[in-house]
Amino acid sequence: MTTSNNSAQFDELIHAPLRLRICASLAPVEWVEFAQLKQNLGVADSVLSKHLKQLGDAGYVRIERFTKLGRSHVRVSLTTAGRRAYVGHVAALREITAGRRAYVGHVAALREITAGE
Amino acid sequence: MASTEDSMKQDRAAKLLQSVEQDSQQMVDVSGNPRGLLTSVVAVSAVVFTMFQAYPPQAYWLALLYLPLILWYVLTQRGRAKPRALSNTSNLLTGSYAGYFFLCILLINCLGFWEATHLAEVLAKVVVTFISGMFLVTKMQAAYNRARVQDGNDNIQ
Repeated sequence: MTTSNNSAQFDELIHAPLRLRICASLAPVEWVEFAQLKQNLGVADSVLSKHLKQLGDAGYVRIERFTKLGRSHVRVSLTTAGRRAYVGHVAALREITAGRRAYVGHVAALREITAGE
Repeated sequence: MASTEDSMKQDRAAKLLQSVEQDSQQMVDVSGNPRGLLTSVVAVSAVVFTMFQAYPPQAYWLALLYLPLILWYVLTQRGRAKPRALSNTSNLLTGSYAGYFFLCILLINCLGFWEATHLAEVLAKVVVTFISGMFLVTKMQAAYNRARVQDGNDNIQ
């Protein structure tokens, strides 16, 4: 089922810059391996683990550990609740910047009017 | 008039949105196929397509050139992030992706009319097919990547 999100909802947990970056990296994929996510974000293992634990405790992220050909792997993915919260948070950020664009446009319009006079 | 606090909040939100876009784009690039593989597929296809038309029965063995590419593709998929299936394909099917796809079909049909017989003509046809194919495939890939970023940030599946 496809649900386009129209309900913007600010999420304090996701708002932290690194957690937002983690969610943004996970958004276009079904899952990613921990090592690749770490490389994508350019952060240390401990830092990423700490933030993933916080997101996992909130039920936003699923962390799966498994062994393949004798090597252990960790897969990270967004849960449905996490995706909903992330999409809502991005929509909320867009609403905030839309207010800015409206204000900038209004100032530009006022300048044009005063220049015409 | 917007207060300074509001303005700062809006600036911060704009920066965060920019960072979101960059990180999603980076993950889309990482989880997609490598550029070299795409270039190789187009190059091999240009050679195979031209040779099949120029020297029909003898050139069929050239299809074997796809085998190392398939192997390369399989190897690159190991440990790679799994791309999310697009939940909303309407933008993709009505946007620039579909346009470039139809241009690709048109190109293949038009090149079918060019009957290259001499070696110089065959080489010229390979080069033309490769350059035009690469242009269209790159545009299609960029449109698909944009759709993936937008879908990931806008849709709940």
